Amino acid sequence: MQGDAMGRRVTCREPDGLAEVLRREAAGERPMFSEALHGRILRRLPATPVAAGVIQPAESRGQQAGRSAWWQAILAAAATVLAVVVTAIDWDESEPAGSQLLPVAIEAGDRAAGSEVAAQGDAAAAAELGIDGVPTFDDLEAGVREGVSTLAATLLDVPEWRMLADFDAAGFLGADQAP
Amino acid sequence: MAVDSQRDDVMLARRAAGGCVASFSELARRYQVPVVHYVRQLAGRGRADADDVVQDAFFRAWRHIADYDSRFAFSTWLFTIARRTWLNQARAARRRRVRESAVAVAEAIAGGAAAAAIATEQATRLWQVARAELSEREFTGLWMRYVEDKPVAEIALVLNKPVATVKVILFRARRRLEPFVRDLAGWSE
Repeated sequence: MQGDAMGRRVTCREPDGLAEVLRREAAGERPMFSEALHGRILRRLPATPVAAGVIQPAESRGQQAGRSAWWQAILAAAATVLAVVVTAIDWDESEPAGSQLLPVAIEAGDRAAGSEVAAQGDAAAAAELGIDGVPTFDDLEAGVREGVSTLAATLLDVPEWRMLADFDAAGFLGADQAP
Repeated sequence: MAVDSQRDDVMLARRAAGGCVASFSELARRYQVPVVHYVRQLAGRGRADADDVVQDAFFRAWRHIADYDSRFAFSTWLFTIARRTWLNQARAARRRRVRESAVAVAEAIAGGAAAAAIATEQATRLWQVARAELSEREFTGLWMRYVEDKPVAEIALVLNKPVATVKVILFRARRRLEPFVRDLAGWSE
């Protein structure tokens, strides 16, 4: 097994000379230009109109970045408008303005809803409030834990993932260096 | 030099999109050899079959040249069309074989056996070994990488796969081909 200077396994490094051999082998079988084939290609063209469409112009990186920034600005504005609309629709004119912003109005003498949940766990709070038909945070957390365990077990069962674990990320990411 | 050539290709493609046959003819002249080279190796069949695929690929390129995205090399777009044309024809051939009568199937099997014998005889060259050992996707990835010198991002376009997937494809292809390369090239560890 080959290793790098740090002694780590490097299994995805391009073997020395591979590119050269592959290029040489391909060059040995490179065909010659064929006027006959060229003629056959051209004979079909004039009878067939070019399909309608527009060639997209080449864009510089600056143009692409500018377009990206433009879209981000539009999305941010849309999100702001959406938030304002949702707030406005949800507003109940019969209630004092401040109470709309709090899930439970806290008045003198009342127990704070938050402290109740913290003390008893949300399952108990949900039962007390009569909303036991709705999944609690405990249920959701258990579900997420189960899902993660299942996913991990599944990945370990897939041979290709086991194979992927055989090589290191640094060598893998270096695979796109220009030949 | 390559950048100038690419700009030139884009200019010719624009003219071709306007209906200029001469511009498309120039593009076809420039890229006939690399496309024929790729398709013949990919098909691994008779020269006539491969040339039919090439002819069809150029015809499709002409029909849809207005859809060419000039941010990428014209050759990348052409290779993408050639690969898809070959895949379509290979699938159609497979469907035809399934529909054929028992006698015809028997004949096809006999023909296949002969072709396999010929292929075994010819499989002394590395790319023929590659075609036999690798999937079409792995073969095309390697070909674009080492014969056409395409960057991974453009190979991703040809294969219609994300860049990360292309890296995995190249990695696996190289690993599978390495023992054969070692034998053919007489490498030592």
